[in-house]
Amino acid sequence: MTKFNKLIALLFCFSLLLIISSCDEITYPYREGTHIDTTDTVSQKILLEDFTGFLCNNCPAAHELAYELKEQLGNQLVILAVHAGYYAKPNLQYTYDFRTAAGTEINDHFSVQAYPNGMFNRTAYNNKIPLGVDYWGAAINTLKNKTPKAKIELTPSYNETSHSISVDVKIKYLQQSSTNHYLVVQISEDSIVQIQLDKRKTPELIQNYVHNNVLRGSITSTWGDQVSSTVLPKEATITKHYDFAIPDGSDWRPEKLKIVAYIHDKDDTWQIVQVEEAKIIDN
Amino acid sequence: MQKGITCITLFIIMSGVLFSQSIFDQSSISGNLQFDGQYYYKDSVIGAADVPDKLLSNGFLFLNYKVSNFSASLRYENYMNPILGIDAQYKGNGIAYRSFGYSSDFIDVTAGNFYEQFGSGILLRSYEERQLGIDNSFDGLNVKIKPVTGLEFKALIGKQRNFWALSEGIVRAADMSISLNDVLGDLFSSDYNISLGGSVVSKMQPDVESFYYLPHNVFAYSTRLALSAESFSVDAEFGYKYNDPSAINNYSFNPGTALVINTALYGDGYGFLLNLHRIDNMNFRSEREAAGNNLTINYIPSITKQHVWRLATLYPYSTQMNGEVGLQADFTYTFPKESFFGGKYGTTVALNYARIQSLDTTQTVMDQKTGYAFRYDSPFFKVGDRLHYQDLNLEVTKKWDKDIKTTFALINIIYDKDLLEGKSSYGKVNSTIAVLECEYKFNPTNSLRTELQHLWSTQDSALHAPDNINGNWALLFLEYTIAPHWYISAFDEWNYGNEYDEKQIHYLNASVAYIEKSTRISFGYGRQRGGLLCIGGVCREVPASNGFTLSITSTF
Repeated sequence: MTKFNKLIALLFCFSLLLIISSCDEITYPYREGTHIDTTDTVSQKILLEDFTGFLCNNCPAAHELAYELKEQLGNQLVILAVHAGYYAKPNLQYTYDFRTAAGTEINDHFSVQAYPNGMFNRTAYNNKIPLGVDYWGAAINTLKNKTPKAKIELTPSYNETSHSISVDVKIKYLQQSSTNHYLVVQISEDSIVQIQLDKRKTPELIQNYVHNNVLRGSITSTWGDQVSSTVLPKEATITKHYDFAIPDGSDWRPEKLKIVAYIHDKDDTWQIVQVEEAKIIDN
Repeated sequence: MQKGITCITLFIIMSGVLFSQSIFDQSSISGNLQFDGQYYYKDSVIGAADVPDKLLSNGFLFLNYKVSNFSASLRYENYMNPILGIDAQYKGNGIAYRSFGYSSDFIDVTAGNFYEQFGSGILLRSYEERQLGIDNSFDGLNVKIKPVTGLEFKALIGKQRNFWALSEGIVRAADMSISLNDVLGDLFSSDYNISLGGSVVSKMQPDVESFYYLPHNVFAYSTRLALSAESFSVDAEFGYKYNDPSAINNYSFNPGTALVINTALYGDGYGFLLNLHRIDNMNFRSEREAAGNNLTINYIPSITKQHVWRLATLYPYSTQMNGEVGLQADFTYTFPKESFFGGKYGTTVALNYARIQSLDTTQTVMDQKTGYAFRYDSPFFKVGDRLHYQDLNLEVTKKWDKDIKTTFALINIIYDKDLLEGKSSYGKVNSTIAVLECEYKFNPTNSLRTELQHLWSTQDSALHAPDNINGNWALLFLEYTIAPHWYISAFDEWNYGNEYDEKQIHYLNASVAYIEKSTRISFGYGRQRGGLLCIGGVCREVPASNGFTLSITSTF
């Protein structure tokens, strides 16, 4: 071996040592503690649109992960279970239809093809917007400390006689607005007992599965109403009022309904700017 | 003065031309083309969903340019849109692979995309397998140095291909291999060839998620030995990986280990192989969230025989990187010509047995939230109770005269459907397959090959819902060859024993292939059953389909 070759070999072995040092061994505890944010300061809230279906046997695990994230983030996380696509389609045996026109439109717009999949403020993580469950924890961490651009306050009410919902949506801009900002107001429902497939159970079919945060419909159109046709300055406030009659013959239960309102950057980044939710009947 | 300048200019131009001519005389360009297109029809009986696009295709063009010691290559890929079964994330087109390299006897450098393998691949193997939609090439820098004959160092750093993006994690790796015969020369007996090797791999990915304390860097190492002589060979490799919690191992903080031993014994007319492997938590990916076949850093092939008979591929095995212990024994014997069993042309008998079991694990530290184990014990020499797969098969090939050749095969497979297909209530499938293949040559250019296959199967549990793959199957395959250009084939695969009458389906297929030099064009029509497609122990799920297929491959 020539001197030069020996030198190369030595350099190589040295580089191996450098690589060897690149190791982190973790010892107990393996799990991080939970940190619920209970402060009432304005924070960037996160909308998780969980694309799901009652025939999707991997989906209940995703629902549980969403609840776990909610446990960590508290009110900072708003969950919408969007039943859409192949696994949400009723068949001759199971006829209950969770799907909504708005949900299907959003599903198709973002080309969601695998279930479960989730979008976090419709913001890309690792170049992908709809994300598989394994990326959820990481995606949320990139969003939760962002400075919010706006604050939304909801004042909903329910009229028992007319079976209708009213909601005031007050938007306060913390930064200058954009004319691409559109406000979407949707309705979700908790505790719907229906069937669901769960791969982890034998048999897989669960007759009494409790479906939460289910998207029931949209008060506005799917992509919403323009917040303002002019650019609003920081600190500007704008309030919008909506009335909505619960569809006749529907099985929606007012005490389980929630309003979910969000501003998104329509025709531009499509990202969610801010989101808020409130129960229609605060019990 | 002006003359002088003109002369110098001419000299420069001429020498440039001469130099470039001599350089470019040594240059060469080569490449290959592949196109697979399929036109789909909805076929609810077999479970083939409507494909709104109707026509889906995958296309590849690879070009390699070499001049002197330098080379440049690129691969254009076109998925518009990806054919069914290939991950939809490939959708689109573009240059998926480009590399520049310099290669000499002493050093070999590649910048850009490259494939690499250390040893048998238990720590690192990047490769492309288009049929499975796998391409985990690195994008980075790869250096190989051979200071003396028989000694090679390799080092690489890069990110892996993640469809049309790159992995979040960075892989740093190095390998050394020594051939003792070459390095020690005369000091060593030439009756034996001994080579040794060792690899180290480190993966870096920041911990940004919020549930676990995760390692930023994951380190792994391996050592290997290969010994061969005239009548036997032994290859052994051991790998160790420090804690690497990931989605695919349910966030286990256990270290990973892998031991692979392959031995072979050969003599007059016989060959005997004995392979053993034990894999524990060796799923190694460049992103801890990666799923499916995506972003794998290492590769351990399946320890079972790769069957070619269509019905025998109905229940294939895929290596369980999270844990398995496997053994395979293979014996091949060729009865000599002119003996009682050998006849005029000889007879070959192959007997093969493989069995794969789970590891014997005891959970020690539990994750109360998920119910999975953070840590577990798995004694190295203990085998778990769960049978993953067993395959016992016999194959007899006999040439009766110069025009007739037959092969008979009998295969018994026990298949853990729940484990291998991610189901929960099917249990195991026990199937027996008999195959008779006959090949008859009418004349030097015309020949006919027929295959008659039958599969008997029973499964542990009663079916809860109609299922397209269960019960007995029969298959008839015919292939007529007009050498050297035409290959015409047709087959009917019939699930006549399906428990549900409406699912007793004929899967009819026909195709014509034309070969001209290094170009092959084939056109076919048929119904494809859904199921797992496995190559070398790596599988992907292929949905059922019905339609026309067009395939073109060409090398130049």
